[in-house]
Amino acid sequence: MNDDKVEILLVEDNPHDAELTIRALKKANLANRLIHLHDGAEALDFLFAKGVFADRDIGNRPKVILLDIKMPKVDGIEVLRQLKLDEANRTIPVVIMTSSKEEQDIITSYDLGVNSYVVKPVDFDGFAKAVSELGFYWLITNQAMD
Amino acid sequence: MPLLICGLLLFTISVYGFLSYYSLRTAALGIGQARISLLASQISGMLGQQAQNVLKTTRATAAQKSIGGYILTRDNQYRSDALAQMDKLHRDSTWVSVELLDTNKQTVLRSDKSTVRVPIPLGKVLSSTPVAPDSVRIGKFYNSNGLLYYAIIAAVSDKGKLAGYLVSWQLLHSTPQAVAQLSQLMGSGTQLYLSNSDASVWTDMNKPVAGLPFRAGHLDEFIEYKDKNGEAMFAKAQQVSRTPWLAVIILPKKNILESAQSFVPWILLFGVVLMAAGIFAVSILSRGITKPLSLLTDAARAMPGEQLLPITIDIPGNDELGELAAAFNRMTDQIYMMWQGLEQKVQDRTGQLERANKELDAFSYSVSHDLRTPLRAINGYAIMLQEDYGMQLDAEGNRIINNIVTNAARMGRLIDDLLSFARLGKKELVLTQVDMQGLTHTVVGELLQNGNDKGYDIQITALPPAKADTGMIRQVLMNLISNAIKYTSKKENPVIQIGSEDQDTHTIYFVKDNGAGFDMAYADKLFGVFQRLHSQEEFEGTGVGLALVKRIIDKHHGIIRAEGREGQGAAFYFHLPKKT
Repeated sequence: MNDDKVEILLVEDNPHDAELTIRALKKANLANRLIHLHDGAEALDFLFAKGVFADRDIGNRPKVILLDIKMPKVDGIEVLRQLKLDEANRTIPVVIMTSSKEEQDIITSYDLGVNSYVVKPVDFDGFAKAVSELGFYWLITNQAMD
Repeated sequence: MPLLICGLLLFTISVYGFLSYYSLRTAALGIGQARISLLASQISGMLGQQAQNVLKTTRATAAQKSIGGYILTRDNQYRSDALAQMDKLHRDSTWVSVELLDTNKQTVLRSDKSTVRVPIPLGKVLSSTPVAPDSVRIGKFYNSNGLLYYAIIAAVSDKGKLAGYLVSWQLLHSTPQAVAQLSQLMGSGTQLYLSNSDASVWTDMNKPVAGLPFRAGHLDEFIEYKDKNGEAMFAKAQQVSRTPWLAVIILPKKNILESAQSFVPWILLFGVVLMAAGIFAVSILSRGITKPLSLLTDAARAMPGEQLLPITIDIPGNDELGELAAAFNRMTDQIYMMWQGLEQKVQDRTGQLERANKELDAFSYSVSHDLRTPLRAINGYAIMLQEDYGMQLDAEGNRIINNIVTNAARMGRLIDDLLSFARLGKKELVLTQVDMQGLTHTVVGELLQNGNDKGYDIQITALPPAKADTGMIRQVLMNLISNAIKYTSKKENPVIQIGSEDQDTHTIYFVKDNGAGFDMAYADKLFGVFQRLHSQEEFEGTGVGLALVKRIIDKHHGIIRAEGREGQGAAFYFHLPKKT
C-alpha cells in the first residue's frame, strides 16, 4: 500500500466492521487512500512512527482517523488521549466509531477533544450512510489545517 | 420530688402529733379515773372508820346498866345516871339530840343537851333501819329545811331481848375551811359529795345539792356528765362501809386533760424539729438522687441525636443510682457497638451493591457493543449479498435475504430499547419545571416529520407545566404519542387527543386515540417488558416502550393507567404529583 498520501486511517479490530466501513467508503469513492490498522497499539506505532512503522515518514499524517473504542491491547480512548496530547498530531480530526452508546465513553471522548462521535447503526444502509457522510465531511468539506 | 417528700413529712408529723396527743389523752383519762377510784375508796374508808368510832361509842352507851334499867323499870334510881350517860354523847355541836325509846318507839327519856328537836318522826326512821338486839346502825340522810340529819340507832337489850332504842341525831355539817382542806388533800378541783345509797339525798358535806346522773343499780360505775355550768365532769361513787351512804368523788375533765394538753406545745415543737430535719434530709437526698437522675436524663436525651460517640455518665457509688448509671453506660456501649456493626454492614452492602452495579454496567456495555457488532455484520453481509449477487438470485432468494436484514435490524432495536430500559434504573431524576405544552408540540412535530404524515388530526388542549425530569418526560410523551400514531395508522380518520385534568394533588395528562385499541382483559400486560397485545405483522414494536413509560412515571411517584376497547381506541393517563 502506498502510504505516501494517507487520507483515512481506520483503526478497527473487527474485520467485518472494517469490511463494511471500507465498502461504504468505496461506494462513495473515498477509500482510495485508506489504511486499516487492527488495534490501538498498531495505531500509536503508526502515528508516532515506532515499531514496525519506524521507517515511516512521520510527517505524512492522515486527514482523518476513524477510531473504534473497544479494541485489544490499547483501546480507542487511550489512542485518542495520546494523540491529543501530542503537538504534531493533535490537529488530526478523530472520529470515534463505536457500537457503544455508553455515556461515559461519549463524555470522555469529548473531554479528550474528539471531533465526532458516531454510534454505528445495526442496519447496513444507515451504517453506510453514516460512514460516507463522515468521509465526505472530513475529507472534502472540512478545511484541514495544512 | 422534694416537694412531695416535704408533703409526706408534713402528713407524717400531723398524724404523729394527733396520735401522740390522743394516746396521751387516753393515758391521762385512765390515770384520772384511777385517781378518782383511789380517792373514792380512801375517803369512803376514812368515813367508814369515823362511823365505826361513832357506832362503837353509841353502842357502849346503850350497853350501860342505867340505860337498860331505866327503860325496863322507869325507876328514878337509874334516871340521873342514864341522863348523864346520854349527855356524854354530845361531843360536839353536830350531836344535836340523844333520846331513849321503848319498844313501842315512844320517847321515854331525852338528854337535856338536845338543843334541836329533829322534825323527823323516829318511828319512820326505826322502821326503815331495823336494829337487832345488841347492835347499832347508822341511818340515811334526811333533809329538813336545808339541813341534813342522820340517826345513829343502838339497840338496848335485856338478856338478849330488845328492850328499847338509844337514838342520837347528828347534823351533817362541815365548815368551809374543812371542805377546802379536804379538797386540797384530794387535789385541786376535786369535790366530795355524799349521798344515800338509794340516791335519795345528795350533799356536798355542807348543804343539799342536786343529784348526779348515776344509773339506778349501777352506782359503782364511772360517769361523765356536764355540770350546771356545762363543764364536763367525771364522777365515781363508793359505798361507805357500815353506813347506807355513798362517797362520791368528782373531778373536772379538763383537770385530767390538763397534763395531756401541757404536752401539746412539746409535741408541736418536736414535730417542727422533725420537719426541719426531714427537709434537711430531703435536700441532701435530692442532691444525691435528683442530680444523678438529671444527668441520666440528659445523657438519654442525647442518645438518639447525631452524636454517635459512646455516651457515658459518671455517677460513683454502689447504690441503686450507681448501678443504674453503670447499666446505662453498658447499654450505650452496646448501642455504640451495634451501631458500628450496623455501619460496617451498611458499608459492606453498599460495596456489594456498587460491585453489582459495576457488573451490570459492564454487562450492558458488553450487550451494547458485542451483540450489536455481529448483528451489524449479519445485516451488512446480507445487504452486500443482495447488492452483489441479487441479480443471480431468484425472488425467493431475495425474500430470504430481506427477512435476514429486517430481523437483524429488529434485534438491533430490541437491544437498544432494552439497554435504555436498563439504564433508566440507575438514572437520577433531575426535577425541573417542564413546559408540557411546548414539549408535546416539539415531540409531535418530530414524530410527524419522520415520515407518516397522512393527515393525523392531533388535538392538543391546555397542558399545565409539570415538576419532572425533562428528558424522561420527553421519552414518555414520545412513546405514548408514537404509539398513538402507530396504532391509528390503519384508520381512515386518525384522531389523537392530548390533554390534562387538574386534581388537588395531581395533574392527569392523557393521550387518547381512536386506533386499534386493546381488550381491557389484558390491560395488566400492557406495561410489562416484552409484553405485546399485537403481532409483529399488525404493528411492529419491541414491547419495551410502555414498560419504559411505566418505569419513568413510577420514578416520579406517579400513576399510569390505560383504558381501551378493541378496534375503538386507547387512552393512556399518567398522574404526576404537583409537589414532590
